[in-house]
Amino acid sequence: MENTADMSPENFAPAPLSPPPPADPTPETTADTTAAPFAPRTDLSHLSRHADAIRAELSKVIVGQRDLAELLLTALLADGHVLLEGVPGVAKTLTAKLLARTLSVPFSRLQFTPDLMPSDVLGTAIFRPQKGEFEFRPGPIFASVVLIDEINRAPAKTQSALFEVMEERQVTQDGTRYPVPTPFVVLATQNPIEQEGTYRLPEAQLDRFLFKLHVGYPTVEEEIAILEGHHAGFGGAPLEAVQAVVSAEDLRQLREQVQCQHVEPKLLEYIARLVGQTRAHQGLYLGASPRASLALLNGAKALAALRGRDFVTPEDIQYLAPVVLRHRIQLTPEREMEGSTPDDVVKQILQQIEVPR
Amino acid sequence: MNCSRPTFAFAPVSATAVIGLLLLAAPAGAGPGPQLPQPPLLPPADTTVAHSDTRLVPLPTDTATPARLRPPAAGRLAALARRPEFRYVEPEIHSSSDSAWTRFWRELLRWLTALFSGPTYESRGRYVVYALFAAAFGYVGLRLLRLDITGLFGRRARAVPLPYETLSEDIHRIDFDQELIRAEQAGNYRLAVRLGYLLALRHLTERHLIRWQPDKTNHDYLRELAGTRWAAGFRSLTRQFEYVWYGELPLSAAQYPALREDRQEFIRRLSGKLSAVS
Repeated sequence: MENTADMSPENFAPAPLSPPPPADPTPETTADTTAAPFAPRTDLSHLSRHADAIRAELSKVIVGQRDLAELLLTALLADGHVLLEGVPGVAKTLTAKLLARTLSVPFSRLQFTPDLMPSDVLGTAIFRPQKGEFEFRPGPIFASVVLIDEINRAPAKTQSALFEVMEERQVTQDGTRYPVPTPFVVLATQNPIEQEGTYRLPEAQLDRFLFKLHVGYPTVEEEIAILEGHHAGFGGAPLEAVQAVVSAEDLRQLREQVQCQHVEPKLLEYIARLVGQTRAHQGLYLGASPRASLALLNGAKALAALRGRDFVTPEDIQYLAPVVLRHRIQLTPEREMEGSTPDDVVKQILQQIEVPR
Repeated sequence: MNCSRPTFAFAPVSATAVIGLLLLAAPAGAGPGPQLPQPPLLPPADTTVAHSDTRLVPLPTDTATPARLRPPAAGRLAALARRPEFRYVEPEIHSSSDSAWTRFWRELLRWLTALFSGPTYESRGRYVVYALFAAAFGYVGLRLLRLDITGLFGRRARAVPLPYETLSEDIHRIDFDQELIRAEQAGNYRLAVRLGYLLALRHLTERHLIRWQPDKTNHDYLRELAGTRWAAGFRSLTRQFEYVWYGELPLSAAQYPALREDRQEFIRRLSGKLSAVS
């Protein structure tokens, strides 16, 4: 099993760090940087430089998927876990692996299978005859970046093993708490639920993912670029081309900076109203939890920082609302039969709430 | 020429012999089988009886008392009919305390029952059924094809028919001149920048350069203005508004006049466009 192989020490070793490139002078495409004296009060150049470095490393291998890379970075800065969903073959796992490689932090990978047990993920206590006592042997979850591939191929029993560690960043075994390293990010991939051999993830677990990102097919031009790269011999060892550009300490500082982003009180109310509307919507069987409001807030702060602002705008909130809410809401059977999707409902809710201005 | 018909001479036979002959004749006529010798044609029964020794005994005259019809007592019958176990049709019980809504549904049900039963169904009701089926098929077809035909019946629905949670402000009803003077005099430059931005949005809306909708963000309007000569000016105003309003950037009395001048210049240019068009 792959998860046991990932528990080897070399799998946990952080990659060597390479210096980030200089900052991009135009961090936000829509911003008019000439309009002095309006500029961020906090220095975001450090964050911008590292974000550009990660983008550059990812673009060495990944063709297109700019929005996906942007949202992965957002989740990384917002200290959240990400669920990547897409049909087989659209580079979900590759993207997650590459993102992990850009960080100089311990990494592990778990391949979820139907026979996986919770102890295979969390670790287990083994008896040491020499000491005459039990000793906890940590599982592959004890890493900073954990890639869980095909997470919905394991049954609910194994999924529930992730509840505590994803939310509280710790594992409790035999009454003892074992904290996981900081930072701790779970990047999980899954095939759509309609695929053979997949289970629906429990709502409690879905709620613990900051974003659920859909990985779609590339465009024709992007696919041609993929083929050209592969034909030129680049497809042989793509991971080798990607270097670690952000350390754990860098990431901690960037996250602190994101937490200091300014949010106008009316925007807090806007977030609360958006999420509250999911609980009153007639087309929804299950609305979003307050954790969704927090996810939307933290995500918007990180996105604003990536866009070169030290404050959040409604644009940030609207941009993130689908990826934050789509996996936290459940449609009524009637809406499902009509062919509606959670994204349709989120879009409808966004149209119903006035943008604070 | 002897044209006399052959005659049969019958010897007196007993009833037992007749029955025996009948039993022999029955299987022969019932189905195919070995051909048995055909018996002679039997004479009529009375002839046979007349020739037998059996004595005819006439039936005695029916002298019994004829049956007398005894109808149930009307009172008893009515009492039985009133009992629930003998009542096959529930009578409609109309109470004077029924609400208008109850009476409406009762009358509607009665009308529908009459429409879909008896001669009324033949004359009108069946056409109603045909129409309902046609409408149902049409609806299913439109849903499958995802067609919106509401535009055929007059004006199309507005882009935002949904009720908003709150519509705190209508930019078309704000007295901007008065509100701006009040904010500037109070030194509330943040509010003044906001009001100035809303005023610019109103001008753009009135000139049909953007479509005002409360759910749109500032960048939605920027996208609507993309490629026009107003895009750069509005982008600058948007940036100022976002930093001052959402970012709560402190704005001094010395900084505000430059922002006011930008806004007024943008609106002056828009007004010039209006006069040029008119």
